[in-house]
Amino acid sequence: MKKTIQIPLGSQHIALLEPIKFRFECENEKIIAVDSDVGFVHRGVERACATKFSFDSVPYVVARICGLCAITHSLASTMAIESLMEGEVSPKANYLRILLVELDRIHSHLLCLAHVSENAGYEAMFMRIMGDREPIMELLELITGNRVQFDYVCIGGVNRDIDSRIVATTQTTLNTLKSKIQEYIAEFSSNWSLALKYKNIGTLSLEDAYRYNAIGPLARATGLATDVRSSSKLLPYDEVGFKIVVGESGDIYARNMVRLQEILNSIEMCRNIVEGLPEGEILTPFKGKPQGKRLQDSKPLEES
Amino acid sequence: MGIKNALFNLFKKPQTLNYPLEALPRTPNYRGLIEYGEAECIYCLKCQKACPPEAIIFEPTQHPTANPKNKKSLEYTYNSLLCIYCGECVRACPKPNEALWQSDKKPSVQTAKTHQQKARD
Ligand code: SF4
Ligand code: SF4
Repeated sequence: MKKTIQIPLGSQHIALLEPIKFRFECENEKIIAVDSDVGFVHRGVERACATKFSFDSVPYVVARICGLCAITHSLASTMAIESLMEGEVSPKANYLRILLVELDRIHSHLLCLAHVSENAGYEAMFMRIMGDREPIMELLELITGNRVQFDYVCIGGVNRDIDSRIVATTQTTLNTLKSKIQEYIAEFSSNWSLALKYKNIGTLSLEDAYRYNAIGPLARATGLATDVRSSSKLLPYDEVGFKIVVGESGDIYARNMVRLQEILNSIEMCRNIVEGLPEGEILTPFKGKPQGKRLQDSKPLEES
Repeated sequence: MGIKNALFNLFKKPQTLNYPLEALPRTPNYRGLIEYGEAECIYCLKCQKACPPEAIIFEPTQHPTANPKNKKSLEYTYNSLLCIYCGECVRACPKPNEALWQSDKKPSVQTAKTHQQKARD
């Protein structure tokens, strides 16, 4: 007789935010394997970028792939386009880009930690973290004019400069957050719900992380020192005090710790940036069109 | 720690805003509606080219405006529902602040007309 039972979940399920399908292999209460299928949403962004929009609009389109990491997609596509064109982004614009990416990382990590606490049944912690995340959202709004969908980077630099008022707000906000993060670290490492429940759960081994090309805090929590910020030299991360954070055990507990330490590092970097921001232009015009076959026509490509 | 926090939270002001009874605070850098000054426009159509979602379109009309630069009798239409408030059009405009600028006004859902509605009227 078969020992395990299979439980399907999704593709539409009341507990799921987005369509995704899981098939859990269970042995009594214990899940021993899971199959997942994530290919239910197709928004056609790639096709739209290739056919409907000219190259300088593409960063604005891809920014809308995700509301949480609204800067990363537009920054990546902008830098890809810039590498095909002639011109150089000013150091100041590069620092401002890092500032935005790091603030974005802070609020995204906080959101993740909040949900991790919620899933452990610790709803009060969820409320606390989300409440402390709000000043970061307000700071982002102050810098870019929007809480999400920042539209901050553009080809050649960034859209908005920061002034002394924004610098002061950034410093106070980050100082408050830093003390909160210290409290969280104590909470996440000693509170029963968060620490003991999550130790040795969902462990990913270093070999598996390496074999399956894991990235982000998930990989770093296993001890794999991979970070695009240190491996690519496109943005001057070594000048703003970036330190790679690596965990050990690869379980959820280690991931939480990696995220918390990364927030501390991001706060440090943001402080260094706003304190030592060089003078200069935030936007250097890039002339002409990027080299490359598909992009050379000035008009969007015809639907083929 | 936990007890201290719980007691503190009991007597703390709520973190949420009492919307819609109280207005939301507007940041100074608010990305508001794009406004247009017909008299200063030179009809170079740079804003239309720069706009990613085609929120600004100059449509040909039968009734020319008084502006002598408007040789092709075009009419500026702006769809605030399509606009992503990125400000690219203002940057592309050779006469920013006179012909085209970003205000701090909010778009109003009632008055925004789509191009199709305009065509029907
Ligand atoms: S702000 Fe952006 S989306 Fe809106 S009209 Fe100007 S270019 Fe178009
Ligand atoms: S870019 Fe400025 S001047 Fe040119 S058509 Fe647009 S509003 Fe008029």
